[in-house]
Amino acid sequence: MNRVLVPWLLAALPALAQPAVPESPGSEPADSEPVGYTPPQSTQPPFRISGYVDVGWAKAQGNGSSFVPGDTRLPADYYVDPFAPAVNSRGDVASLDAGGRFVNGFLPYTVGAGGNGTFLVNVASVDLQVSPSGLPVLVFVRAQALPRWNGNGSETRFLLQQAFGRVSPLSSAELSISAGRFDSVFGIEYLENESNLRLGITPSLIARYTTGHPIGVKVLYRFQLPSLSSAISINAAATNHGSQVDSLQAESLSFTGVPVGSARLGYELSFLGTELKLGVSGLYGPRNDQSDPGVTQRQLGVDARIFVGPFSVWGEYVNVKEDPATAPPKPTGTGVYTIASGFRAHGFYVQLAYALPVHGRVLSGASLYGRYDRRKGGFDGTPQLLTSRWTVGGRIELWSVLQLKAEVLFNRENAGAPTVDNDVFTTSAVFSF
Amino acid sequence: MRSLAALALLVAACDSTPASERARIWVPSDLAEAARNGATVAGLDAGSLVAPGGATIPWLSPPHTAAAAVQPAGTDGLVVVPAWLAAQPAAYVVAEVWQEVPEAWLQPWYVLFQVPSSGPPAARVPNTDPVVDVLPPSFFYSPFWQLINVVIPPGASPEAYRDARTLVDPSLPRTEANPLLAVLSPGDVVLAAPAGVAPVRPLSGDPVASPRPGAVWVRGAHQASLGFGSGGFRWGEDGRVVEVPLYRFIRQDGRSLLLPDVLGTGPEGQPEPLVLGSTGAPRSGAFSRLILVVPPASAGVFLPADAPLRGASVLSGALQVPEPAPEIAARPDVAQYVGRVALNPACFTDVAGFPGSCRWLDRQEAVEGALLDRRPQPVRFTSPLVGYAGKPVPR
Repeated sequence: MNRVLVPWLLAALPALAQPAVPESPGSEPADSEPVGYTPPQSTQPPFRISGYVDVGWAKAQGNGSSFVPGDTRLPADYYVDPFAPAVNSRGDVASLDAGGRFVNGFLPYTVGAGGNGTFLVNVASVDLQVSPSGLPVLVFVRAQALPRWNGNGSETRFLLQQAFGRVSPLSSAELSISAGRFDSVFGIEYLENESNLRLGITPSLIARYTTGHPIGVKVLYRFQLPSLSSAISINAAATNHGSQVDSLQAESLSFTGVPVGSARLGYELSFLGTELKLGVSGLYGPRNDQSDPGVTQRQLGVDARIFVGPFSVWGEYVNVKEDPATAPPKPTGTGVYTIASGFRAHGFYVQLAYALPVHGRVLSGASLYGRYDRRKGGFDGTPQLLTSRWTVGGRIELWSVLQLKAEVLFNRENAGAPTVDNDVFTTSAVFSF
Repeated sequence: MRSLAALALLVAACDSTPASERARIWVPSDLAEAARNGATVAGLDAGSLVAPGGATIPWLSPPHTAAAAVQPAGTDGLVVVPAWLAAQPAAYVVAEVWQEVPEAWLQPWYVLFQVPSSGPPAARVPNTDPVVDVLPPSFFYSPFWQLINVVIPPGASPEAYRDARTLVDPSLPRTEANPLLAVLSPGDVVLAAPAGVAPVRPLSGDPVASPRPGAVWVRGAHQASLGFGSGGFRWGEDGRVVEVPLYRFIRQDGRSLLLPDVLGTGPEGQPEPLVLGSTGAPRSGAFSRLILVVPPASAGVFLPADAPLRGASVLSGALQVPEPAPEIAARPDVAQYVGRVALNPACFTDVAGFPGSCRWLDRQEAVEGALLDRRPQPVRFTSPLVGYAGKPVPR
């Protein structure tokens, strides 16, 4: 795999030039990132269409999954990390082939490629935004299509990935209230949910806990402290399910009738050429993969970003605790399973990126990056699994509308989980419009 | 943060499932503790499942007998419960109680093998305990095991293989062996019986088999186990253990009639012919769902004239209790019918036709065919058979 990647990166080096934190045509300016995607109002026409197409080629080792042949412990997904062999920015894995063994819904979505290298249309995404002139209102819709092989035939999933209305009632203050389906407010990795916004390709090992698209209401308030070159923001939400991805907790509706509260308190410090961004996040409320409002989930997280010249460092830690359900079943975005077990996990990632100072018309940017992920988690009565991952990759940007990325994921089973060949080489070409 | 606090209060104020109704698996040590404390388990009197030391033993004490039998001090006894399985007298114990846990799955039980220095074939490594990898309170803990013989490398120390993670290595040869029913965390439970007396099936006095204490490794830690042999259960291709109904006769008001239960041979509504394993042990009954049934008041229970249970007030008005004909009461096999319910109790005096003329409710298809008032409970049992057809269940 290295033999494939290294020449590619070397070839890209001469023309490297790209901000470490990518900005897409539709993304928010970096200094107000805590809200995630919040399209600008005043500088855009009232009606706007944008989007991107993410086409990739990926190959995973082994059978493309983390499952070990011959391991008959059940549920099979409690003894491995099925999320490890991710191939795209959605966190879809190469395979979920557990050999016909019973699984209990601790699963990502999959492209179903197994261990074969394959081209993929990871996503075709269209954004629609309406911002009536002179009104403090914005309506935003992001529709996505995901062509996949489902094991029995081809199908294309259509998602309403985001759909919200936003009101900014005060012209004198940075206050907005959104209702609908939007990015999570927990942590910082949601800022890179979309392929065209993500520096690399695949999400971290803890992204499953923080990068969902909840439905509900959220409020952002941000105020500047010019004398301190600082800003403080609070982003809070009350939503159906919290911040986990849809495959773990369904986002479409509340199964308990009680919303989940989540919030992030952020601090930003900006000097010339240097930025520091810190945040602390919390989440509390009923698990939305069961129906008892007294069965809760709790998450705590801290995050930090430092930008110094061409270097950037992102880091995030999250701690998750979920009570056991009091009754079956366990509904998730991928199906209805037996019963939700008590669960604990914690993990972190640290990502270092370097952007070369190249700003050509054709080669408009380039970066190298590396990330280390570590996660420990497990269900009641089954082993705590300690896994880690090294990710290395690079990207170039052409004409400011085409991103070419390639990365390698070295997945490791450090303790608790059986060793398995599930490293991944993946590429992505993101065409934005 | 204030909004989070408010939300926490909101969540706390919402109606949550009471602790007594939450999904849970009680292992033998939990049952014994509950019995000692006079508590209930999944709505059942724990004392009806485990007799703590010094307590009277259900089924071996009034109203089923004239005198009380007492569990010896310092021991906890799993109560031997009489039942009917495929029209034969049977006996089981409730080794575990599953509340709101809907399925049980076959889990691997690794047994270490090694090629000895003298050469093949591989033999079981002596003085080593098996290895498992799931424990309560996991909802996927299961006492139903598939034995897997794993051949570790020649010369390797067995001590390096006390964690299942080391044994799922695909490079290690393995073969599937017998199934096994063994519960973990058994505490010090034995089968309930008075001091100096072997456990028996109540009402008939048939001998029963006792479980075998053992131990396993779980992620490097030693755990006690209690083995009930290879019988009592079957499973599907996906490893799901087949659940059978356990019909318990009750009055219309919900009180138990204190009669033997009826164990099924297949899933509810799908009775199957009873299958015996290679040891001769029935392969049904050990994972059961409690279903309460109300027999018609016109039905009757077979009780000889001297049976103490005839005086039990709970039977009054719920079932007929006709006295069997003397010729029938004198049959040498009469004990095999004590406590059996028939839809036509007049057959108890049909000397010529007994027992064939009786429409017994002593097997799954009979209970389901009688269209009784059935009340399924969210409660399942690990209910290993200890007696069948008048004999101890072979291990």
